[in-house]
Amino acid sequence: MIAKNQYKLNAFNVLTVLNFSEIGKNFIFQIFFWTKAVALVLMYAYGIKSAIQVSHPTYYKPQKWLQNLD
Amino acid sequence: MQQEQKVTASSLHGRMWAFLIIMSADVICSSLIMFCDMDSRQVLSKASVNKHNIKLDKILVFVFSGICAALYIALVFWYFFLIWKTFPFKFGLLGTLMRKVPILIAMPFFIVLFFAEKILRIVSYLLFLTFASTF
Repeated sequence: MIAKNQYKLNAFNVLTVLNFSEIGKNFIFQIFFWTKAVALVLMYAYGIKSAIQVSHPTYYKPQKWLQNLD
Repeated sequence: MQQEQKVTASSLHGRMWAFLIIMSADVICSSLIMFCDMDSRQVLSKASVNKHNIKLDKILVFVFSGICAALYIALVFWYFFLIWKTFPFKFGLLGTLMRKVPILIAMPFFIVLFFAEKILRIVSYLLFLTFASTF
């Protein structure tokens, strides 16, 4: 009964699904999964930063870019 | 000149909304995939505790993976439309632009990681189907 209730509690728990599933036991999958998860957060953070950065008027004018050229 | 700046300011609003919509949809779909039990040995058991719809779980994994892939392709277009009017992009100074906006280099690596993870998951599911068919 305890195990049954515990399963009901954990039925839709992410870590439970990962631990019991066959793919969750694959070490290579775990590397890809966690690398992708961290990369996703970084990509969204840099996406917001890039949108604000690129929207600056200097990105649409030649002065800033041509002064670095020889 | 003023018109150019107005276009830039108004397009920032649209870009940020598009980005937030893509990001929210992707976070929701990626999170929901994690709750789908696709290849656990428990799905084989006929126990009464297995009340949730396992067939629906299997379908939803493919549906959410497809939506995520479509969203990442939309994100690639979003990055393209972000930079296509900038001066360095118009005049071929892509090296300089990529040094200023490094996300352009990271995006292809991220897409490779995404597809590697999804392919491993789907291959595991197909192998599991072979295993389950032996019962």
